[in-house]
Amino acid sequence: MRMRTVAIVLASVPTLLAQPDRSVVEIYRQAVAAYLESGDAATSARPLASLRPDQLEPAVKAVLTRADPRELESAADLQLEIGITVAGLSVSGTGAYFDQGSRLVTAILPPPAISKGLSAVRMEEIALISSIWHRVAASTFLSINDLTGARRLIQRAGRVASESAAVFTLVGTAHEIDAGLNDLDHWDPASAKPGRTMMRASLLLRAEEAYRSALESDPGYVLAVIRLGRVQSLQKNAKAARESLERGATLAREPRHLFLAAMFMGALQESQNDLTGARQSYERALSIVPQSQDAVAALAFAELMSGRINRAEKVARDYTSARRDDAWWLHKTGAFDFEGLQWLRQHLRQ
Amino acid sequence: MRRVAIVVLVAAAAASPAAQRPTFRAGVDVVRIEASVMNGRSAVGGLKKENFAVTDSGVPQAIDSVTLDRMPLSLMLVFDTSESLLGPPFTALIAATDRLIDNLRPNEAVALITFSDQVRVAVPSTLDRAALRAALTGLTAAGATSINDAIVLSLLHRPPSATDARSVMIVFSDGRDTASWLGSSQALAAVRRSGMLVHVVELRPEAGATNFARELAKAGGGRVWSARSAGALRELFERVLDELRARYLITYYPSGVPAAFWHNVKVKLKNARGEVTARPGYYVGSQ
Repeated sequence: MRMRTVAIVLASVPTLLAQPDRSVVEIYRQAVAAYLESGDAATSARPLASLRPDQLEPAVKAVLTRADPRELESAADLQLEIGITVAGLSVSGTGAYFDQGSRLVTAILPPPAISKGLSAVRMEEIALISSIWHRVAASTFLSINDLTGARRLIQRAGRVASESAAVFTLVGTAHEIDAGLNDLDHWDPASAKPGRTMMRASLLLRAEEAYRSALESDPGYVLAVIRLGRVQSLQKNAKAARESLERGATLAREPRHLFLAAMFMGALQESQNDLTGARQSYERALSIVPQSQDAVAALAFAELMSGRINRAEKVARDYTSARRDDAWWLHKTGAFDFEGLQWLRQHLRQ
Repeated sequence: MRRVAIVVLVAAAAASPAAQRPTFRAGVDVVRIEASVMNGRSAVGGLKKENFAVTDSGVPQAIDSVTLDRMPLSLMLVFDTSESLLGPPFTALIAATDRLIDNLRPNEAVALITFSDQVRVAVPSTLDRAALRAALTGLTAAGATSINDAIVLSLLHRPPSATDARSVMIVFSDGRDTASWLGSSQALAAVRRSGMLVHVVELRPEAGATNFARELAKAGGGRVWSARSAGALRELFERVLDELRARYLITYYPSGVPAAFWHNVKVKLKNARGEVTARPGYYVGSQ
């Protein structure tokens, strides 16, 4: 699965020093206009790459002041693309880009006095843009296991689409990842273990509830089916987990969903000492996303524990010797809302 | 002479991660255990086999030989390069590593593997110091921390030349795992299975090592070295190297031990003072 990602070449960016006659506001305005025109985030954002988010602030404020809906949407989407690109490098950088983007996308909806003149269809469209924008931003944070950033954005996405299966699934994913981060048996002193175990059980329960709410809202929402299977697996409910994961794999059409179902099935099989089954599942996952470190690590470990050392070494060495130019975090936890990003890109092009 | 030959053969066979108790020749099984003995910060030298007591699966064993391990080192540096190290700590890490490389002998190889969220082989095992320095200069600190994945994948990059050198992994990190698929139990299991000697260097402002570092070092028969400031890394790396050069090689023929997949081994001192560290055991065959 090759996902189209934004590749901003930070090192090759001309600095502001080379362009003394152009203000940051103007450079930003032109970048946003170029993105609106071409849809090419990598090229459009290149002149911005030497600027820190705080240096962009006057330019963001200028866009907010002009309050042109198309410019606001384009600028918000460009901020999102940049935030996604730097997510694997700098969590704080991503947060700053997303904060600015959130203000821009929120401002598309004009103040109440003006918005009275908007049609219901347009109001609904604006709400959808905002909800999906915040969903994608939240999913980026979930892709790098940053729950603080994610939860803030999920809350904002939920304000405009509280019954959305996608939002419920994001909520569940945040709890599920949180439970994973609370499973740190070997990090904490023994005295902390009972508290962590209770916390983890509670988080898994809340994740399960969120996925079930997503499925009530949309019974065919495949990501919720697969993630429900994962949670059931972590809750040691192997029978239910297997059923959910098999159903999810059957419903899945997107490679990233098939990948996730295979990874979670592998983990379930491994937990039941079915190393042969686990190896097959991880191999399937790796065939879908050959650059996934998660799949490589999972398969290599299963091979190692099966006593197949040469095979384990080959899996590991093939991975580290390969050139990886994809933004790994888009498929790191399977949480990234790629469909949402595509929707935003297409909407801007319309 | 025959005994020396056996030790060499055992050392060669022990490089296979599949069998920490290698079998060679009909009916001859030898277990080889590396042990370091420290008294405070100093390595304890001059110990003989009369100074050690070894139990295998709880059964006392007759030690065949105790020698100072003279094989050249083959270091695998597995270094955290996550965003949290950005700035002076990272600069100090690079300088300390540079110094560590300076202190190696010409025939001692080094591999550099880095991890943040991704695991990368920065330099495969090499004697080429210039290549190592170039790689160090090019490193940047960015991203999250996937230490569990890094440990397992690094173990699988053990250099094939390990038969004539002593493979040692030095893991450096400043924080908890935030990005691995594998859990800490899996990383520890892989270390135990590999038989690789593992030392852990931690940089953390709090006193003492994390539980994970302690368990990782225990599983790998090494030690945890804690630095509360980045400036202490240089000295810590020097101490790690000192200890690596003062390890004893203990061999014995297991006797009266139960047939089991995993064998617990305990090494203690007799009539001598010091703290012994050694691998906690070995696997026989496959599960």
